[in-house]
Amino acid sequence: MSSNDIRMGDNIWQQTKWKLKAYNSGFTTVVVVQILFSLFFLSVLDGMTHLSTGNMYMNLQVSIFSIDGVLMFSLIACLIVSLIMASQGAWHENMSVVTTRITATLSTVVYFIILSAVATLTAVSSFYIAVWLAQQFHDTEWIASDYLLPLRTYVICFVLHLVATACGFLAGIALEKSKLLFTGGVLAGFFIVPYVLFWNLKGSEEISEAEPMNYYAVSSVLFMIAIVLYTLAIWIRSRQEVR
Amino acid sequence: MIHVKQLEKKFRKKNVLTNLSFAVEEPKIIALIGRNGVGKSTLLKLLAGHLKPTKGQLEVVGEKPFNSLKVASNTILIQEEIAFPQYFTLVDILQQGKQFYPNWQQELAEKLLAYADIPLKSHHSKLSTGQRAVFNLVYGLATRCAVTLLDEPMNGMDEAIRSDFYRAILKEYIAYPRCIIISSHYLAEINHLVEDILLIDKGAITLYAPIHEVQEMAVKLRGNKAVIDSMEIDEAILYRYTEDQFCEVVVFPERLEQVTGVEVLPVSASEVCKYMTDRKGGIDDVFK
Amino acid sequence: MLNPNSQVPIYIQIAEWIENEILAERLVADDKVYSQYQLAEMFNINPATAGKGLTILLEQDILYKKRGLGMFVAEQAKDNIITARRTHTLNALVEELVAEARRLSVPDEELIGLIEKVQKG
Repeated sequence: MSSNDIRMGDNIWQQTKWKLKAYNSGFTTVVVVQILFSLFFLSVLDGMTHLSTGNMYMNLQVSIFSIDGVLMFSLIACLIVSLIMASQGAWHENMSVVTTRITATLSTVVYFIILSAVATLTAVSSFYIAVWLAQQFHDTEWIASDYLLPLRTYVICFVLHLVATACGFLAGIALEKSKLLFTGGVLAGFFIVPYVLFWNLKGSEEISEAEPMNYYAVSSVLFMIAIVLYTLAIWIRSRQEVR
Repeated sequence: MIHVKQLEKKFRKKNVLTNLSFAVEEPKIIALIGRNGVGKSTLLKLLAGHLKPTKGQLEVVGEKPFNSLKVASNTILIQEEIAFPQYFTLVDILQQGKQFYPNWQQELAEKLLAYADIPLKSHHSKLSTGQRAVFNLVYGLATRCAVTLLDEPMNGMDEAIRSDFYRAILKEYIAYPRCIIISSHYLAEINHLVEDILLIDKGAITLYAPIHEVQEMAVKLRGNKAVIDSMEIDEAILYRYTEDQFCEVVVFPERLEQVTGVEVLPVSASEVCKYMTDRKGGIDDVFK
Repeated sequence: MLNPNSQVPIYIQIAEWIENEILAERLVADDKVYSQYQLAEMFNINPATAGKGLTILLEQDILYKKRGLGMFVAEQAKDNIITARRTHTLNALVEELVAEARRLSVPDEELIGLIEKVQKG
C-alpha cells in the first residue's frame, strides 16, 4: 500500500510544469516590462541616431532603438520575479505538492531557465517589432538584413537572464536568512559583478568593436557564474526547513 | 509504517519535543491529543518531512522524512495554514492533486465538494474559514496517502458538516485503509472514530494505548471524605475534589483493594487525558 | 442503536447489540453475523472497535469463526447469552433495585408487590 515510488526526474518535471502554470505571472510580468520599455524607448528616442545606453559594452545598438535599455529592464524584472520565487510564501505553496528540498529548488531553476529563454525571444521580438514600427513612421529605408541579430546576441541575452534570475533567487534566499547578509550581498554584487563580467573585454579599446569571440567568452563566464550561483542556492535550500 | 525513537526537536534553545518514542505498524486511525503548544503540530511536521529532527530516529514508510521523495509521495499533512498558489481555482488545485498523487480520487473530491456546496470555480483564498477547512480535508482524503496527517482538520466547520465529514473520514478509511493521525482538542467528538490514543505532554508521549483501554484506565470514586481518606490511596490519585465532607477522586483501579461505601463511576477517555496532563492541581485552585 | 453519551465502552455496546439480535431471534444459530466493516458503517465507529466487540463474543462462544468466511452464530448462543445475563446483568439490576428501595425506605414486601404489578401487566 505504501509503495509509491516516484522517480526524481519525473517529479522535477512535474513540479516545473506546475510552476509554469502557478507562476505564469512571472512570464507575463517580464514580457509586459519588455513591451512597455520598448515603446518607451521607441517614443522617447525616436529620431535620434547612434544611441548607446547604460554601460553595456556589447554592441547591440541600432540607430533608432537600443535593445540595451529593454534588456536592462527585462533583467531587472527577472531579478524581481526570482526574488519573489525565493520567498517563504512560494516555499509554502510548493509544499502542497509532492516535493523535497532538492526537487523543489531544481524545478525552480528549470523554471528560470525557461523564463530566460522566453525572455530572450520576446526581447529580440520587441526589437524587431520596434524596427518594423520605425520603418512605418519614417520613410527611411532600412534593409532588414542589416538588423538580423547574430546568434551571439541570443546567447548572451539568454545567459544574462540566467545570471539575473540566479542573483535574484540567491538574494531572496539570503533575504530570508538575514537582512544583513542580503545587504552585504547586494553591495558586493555592485562591485564584483561588473568587474567579473568584463574582465575579458578589458583589452579592447574601441568598445564598439568588440570581437564576436569575446561575446562567447563572456557568455561562458556568465554561464559559469550562473551555475555557481544556482549551485549555491540549491545547496542552501536543501538544508532549510519550512517553518 | 511509522517508527519514532527518542525524537528530539529544538527551536533556538527551546526544547519542544524531548525523547518521544512510539511506533505504528499497520493502518489505523489515531487521535493525537495534547494541550495547546505541547508540540502536536511539530510532531506532525516532522513526520511529514517539513522539519528535521534535532536528535533521535524517525522513519516513515521506511525512510527518513526530510528530503525524501518516497515519504513526500506517501504522506500528506493537512493544516489550517496549507498554502496553494494564489491564482489557482479549486479546479486547478484538484488538478494538481491528480498530477502528483498516484492514488488521487478526482470523483470523490468533486462529489464531496458538491455536497458541501463549494463551487469549484472559487479561489482558495476567497473561501470562508469553514469552506476552506472542508476543502483542505477533502484534498487530504482524496490523495489516499498511506500516512494521512490531519492537524485539527475540523476547525471552523459548523457542527452538522463536522459530523458529516467525520463519517466521510471513516468511510474513506474503510474503503482504503491507511494510517490517519488526527490531532484534535475534542477527543469526545472523535471517540467513536479512533482506534488508538497518542497523548503528548511536556515534549514526550505520556500515553499510547487503544482507546478502549484508556476508557477503562481510571475510575471516579465519590462519597464521604473520611471514607475515601481511609482507603489510603493517595499515590494513585489523579484528581481530587473536596467540599466539606463531599469528596471525589479519580484513581487507577488496580491500586484499589476494596471499594465499599462509595459510588464508583466510569471516567471517559478525554477526562483521563485531561487528568494525566493537568498542571498544578486544576482550575479550582485558581478560585481558592 | 449506540448511545454515544453512554459510559459503556463502544465495543461492549456492539457486543450487547448482537446479543440482543440473537435473543430476539433475528439472528439464529449458524447465521452469518455482520462483519466488522459492516458494523463500522452501520454504527459509525472504527472497524477495530467493532472487531473487538465480535472478538468478545467469540471468546464467550457466542460466535464461531469460519476461516475466510467470517463469523457465525454458535449453536448454543442464545442459551449462553441468557445464562450470562441472568448471572451478571439481572443480578446486578436486582441488587441495584434492592439498594434503591432501601435508600427510599421501601419495605421488602412492598418492593415485591411492585414487581408483581409490573409482571402482571
